[in-house]
Amino acid sequence: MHDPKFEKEVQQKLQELSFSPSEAVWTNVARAVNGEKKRRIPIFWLFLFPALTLTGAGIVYFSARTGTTHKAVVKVTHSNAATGAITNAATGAVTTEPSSGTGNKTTAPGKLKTGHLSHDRSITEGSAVDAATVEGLPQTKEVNVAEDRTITSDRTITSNRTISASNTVTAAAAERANLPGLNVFDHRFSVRAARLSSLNQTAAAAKAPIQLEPKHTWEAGFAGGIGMSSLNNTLFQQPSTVASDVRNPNSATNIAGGPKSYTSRIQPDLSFWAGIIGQKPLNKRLALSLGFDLHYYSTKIQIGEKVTSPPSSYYAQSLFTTATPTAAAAYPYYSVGNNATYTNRYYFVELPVSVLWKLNHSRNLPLFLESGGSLSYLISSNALYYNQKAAVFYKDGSMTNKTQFNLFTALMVGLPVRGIRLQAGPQIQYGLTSLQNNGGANGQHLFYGGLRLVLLPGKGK
Amino acid sequence: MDYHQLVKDCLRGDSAAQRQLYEHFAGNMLGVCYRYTKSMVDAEDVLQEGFIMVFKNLHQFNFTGELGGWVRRIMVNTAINYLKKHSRYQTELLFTEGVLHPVSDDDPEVSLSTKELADLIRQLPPGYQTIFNLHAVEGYSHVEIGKILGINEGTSRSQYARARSLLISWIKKMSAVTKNETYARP
Repeated sequence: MHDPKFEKEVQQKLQELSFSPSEAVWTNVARAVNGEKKRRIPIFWLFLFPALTLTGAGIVYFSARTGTTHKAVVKVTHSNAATGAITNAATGAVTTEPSSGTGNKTTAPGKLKTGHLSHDRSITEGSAVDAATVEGLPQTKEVNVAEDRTITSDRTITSNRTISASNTVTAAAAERANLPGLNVFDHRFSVRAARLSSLNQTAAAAKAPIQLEPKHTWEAGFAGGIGMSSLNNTLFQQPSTVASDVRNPNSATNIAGGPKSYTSRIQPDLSFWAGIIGQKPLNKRLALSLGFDLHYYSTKIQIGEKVTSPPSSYYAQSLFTTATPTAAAAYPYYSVGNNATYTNRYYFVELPVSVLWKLNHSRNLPLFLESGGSLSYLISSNALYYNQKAAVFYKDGSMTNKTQFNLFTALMVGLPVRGIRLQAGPQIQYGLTSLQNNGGANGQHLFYGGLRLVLLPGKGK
Repeated sequence: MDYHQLVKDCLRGDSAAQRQLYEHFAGNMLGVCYRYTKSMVDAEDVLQEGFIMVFKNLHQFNFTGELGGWVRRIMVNTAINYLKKHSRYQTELLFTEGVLHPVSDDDPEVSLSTKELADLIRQLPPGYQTIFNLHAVEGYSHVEIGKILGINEGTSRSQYARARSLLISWIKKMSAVTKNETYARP
């Protein structure tokens, strides 16, 4: 019988046969295998921005409509002869009492216990009048607004506290003030009160819910920022080279010679972000903040010529350029050089969680220190990586750690601007996760430094 | 390497694991593809299609055999399909029923390097090349080769015998040249 000595020898020798395939092969394999995921990105983008816009518009609209629930209580007192009283502790209803004569100081004692204020007065909305600044009002305030209560027109009063008419005002003074209505506001809150059409008759200032305890509810707003981003080795140290393809550096299949060195620096470039934010006060000094935003990072590198098609003789070129015809879909690649500046772009969705600490007691210029972390996911990137074997730049989505965890801190100043609260200040953010999934100890981390802006509708608590 | 975990990670869609699996086998598998084709460009095409098949069918791998062997079988099947599909290989893959050619008992010592041997195999006509690779290197029987290529067993034997004979003659010639060159050196 034939002894296949020859076959065994051939088999043994050919087991050792090995070559290093070009990067284009993996690029196309990865594209084919994970192609479906990538096709979802444009659809995501199409829906994300309209969704954010609608959400933001909704927040602003509903914030404006529900702006009447504010923490204040109106104490109404009249010394007018024709003054009525806000009273009726037993029923909780407001009754109009006959006048007791001019000059008599009439108060409206009594307690309101979850009652309903009803009156036939029209409600004036919108115009805020600070009681202290109403012209002609005597020192004894006609209307005293106690803090921590809420009046909302056309609502029931839900209060367990007493509304007492302890301060007085004369009818003459009230007439001088020519109040079309009794709209009284604490200067911190945009409270709408009921109008008094006639001072001869006293009416309840409002029919509104009164909240006595300050509620720590969520407030929604917008957040955004603009600045510069970079890729750093540590918090403030920039790497000397671009992210390189350092996979399998000891591979025996590297037939294109040893790794080639490259020393292009990464230059910082524009970065900005925007999103929605929710804040919940924990106490007077602290607030919890959650958000959802889109963050754009970019960096710049120097590259050489663009290679758009395979060279005629792959043997004459480095191994990397021996791309197959079908692999040509992975082009363009870029050679090393200084012919052009390329912008690496990264688009992330981020879920930040942070704590806002009010550093001072100033009401005009409050200072906030915000610190927290964010979980982010890379949804798109055009970043180039450097292939050491072939000394070319190429795109490779698989090189990136798509999920990132970042830490950030910001020092902001609060600026009250026409019914909104604006917080603005410098912010830095550092990605704890290496952007390159094989970066190891020399990983490159996203860094952002810039201005942080937070807009919250309303005047706050 | 923990293939179990690697396969699980790949099935979960972990691109880093997919890359790792690719890196681990790509070099040797390109060697396999190189033997079946006539150019490195075609070999990379086969490698690319083969790995796409590997990742799309990875859920069928049941760990009863070696992962490397499973990947290799896919590469060989992909290579044969590639040869059947592309016209430049098709004409020469038409196997003619010929007289049974006896396998010679000649078993020369193969003193060539791996690359030289592979290049000699690639110089065989595609039909010979494929059958030689399948039988001598992959270890398929002629019955199996007949099923794979859609030919009968006898044709496979005959083609193999001719391929073997041709290859041995080339190896002898090259070895003689190498020896002469060696003796000629001062």
